[in-house]
Amino acid sequence: MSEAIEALISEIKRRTEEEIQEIIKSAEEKAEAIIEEAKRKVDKLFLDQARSEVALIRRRIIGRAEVEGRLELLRAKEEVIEKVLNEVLDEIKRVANGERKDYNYERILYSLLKEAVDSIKEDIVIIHANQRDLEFIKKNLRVLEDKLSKDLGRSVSLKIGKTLSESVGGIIAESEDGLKIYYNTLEGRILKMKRKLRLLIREILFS
Amino acid sequence: MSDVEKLILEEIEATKRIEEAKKKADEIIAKAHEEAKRILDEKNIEERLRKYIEEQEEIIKSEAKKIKESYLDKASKIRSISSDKIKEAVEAVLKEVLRVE
Repeated sequence: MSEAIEALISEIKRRTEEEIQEIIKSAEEKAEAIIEEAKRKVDKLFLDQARSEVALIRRRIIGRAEVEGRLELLRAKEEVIEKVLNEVLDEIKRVANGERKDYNYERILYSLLKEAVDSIKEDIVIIHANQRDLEFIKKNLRVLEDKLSKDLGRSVSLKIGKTLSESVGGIIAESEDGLKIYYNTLEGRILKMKRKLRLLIREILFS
Repeated sequence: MSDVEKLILEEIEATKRIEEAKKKADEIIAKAHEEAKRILDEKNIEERLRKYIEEQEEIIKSEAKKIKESYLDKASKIRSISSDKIKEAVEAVLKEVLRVE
């Protein structure tokens, strides 16, 4: 075989090899692109769906935990507030029974009476109270009427009304015709002031 | 065998090998299409999604547990407020209730 032919055959073999490699490489690149495109499509689909589902689950589970946690916190605060209010009622009983020397119950009772009589704005006022307070008022009727008349700047006449057996202390004032009533029992004051008292307790204990 | 015949045989062999390479290339691409089909299969996606959501749900549950524990801790601290502080509140409320203008 001549050298020229040998060189030609060798060139044919080299080009063939090159072409084969090029064909395979190109196919492999195309295959990779096909698979990558599929993965990209799936990832997008997956992420869109996963994100929205996970967001829903998060909202449901975390939301429930937040609500339950806050409720528990509220329950705890309510328990403490109720405890304070119950202890206040006990202390009020002690004040009314004269067991607290730092409070003058007779002066408090007069103030409650004055506030109620002033609100009724009638000359004759019927006073209801528990037995102890009613007896005190009965016993000091004249003195109280005079003091009230002087303090309020008008004539005041008190009539003894019903005994409030359940009351801790304080009074209920009523006009003679029964059209005007002013509740000024101590437990009534707690009820009336409950919102304000709760705020005060919150401020002292939880702020 | 003459030189020309040798050349022709070499060309025939080269063409044959290139044709085989093209067939192989077609197979590679066909396999890639199959793989892409498998990847895009809804069942596979759903299964992957299900697993992922299960994992995320566990993570979220543990986060929720921590949130709730933090509230329970705060509630427990509130329930164990010192008796001195309670007494302070009782006295302040008592003063307010008995304060008559």
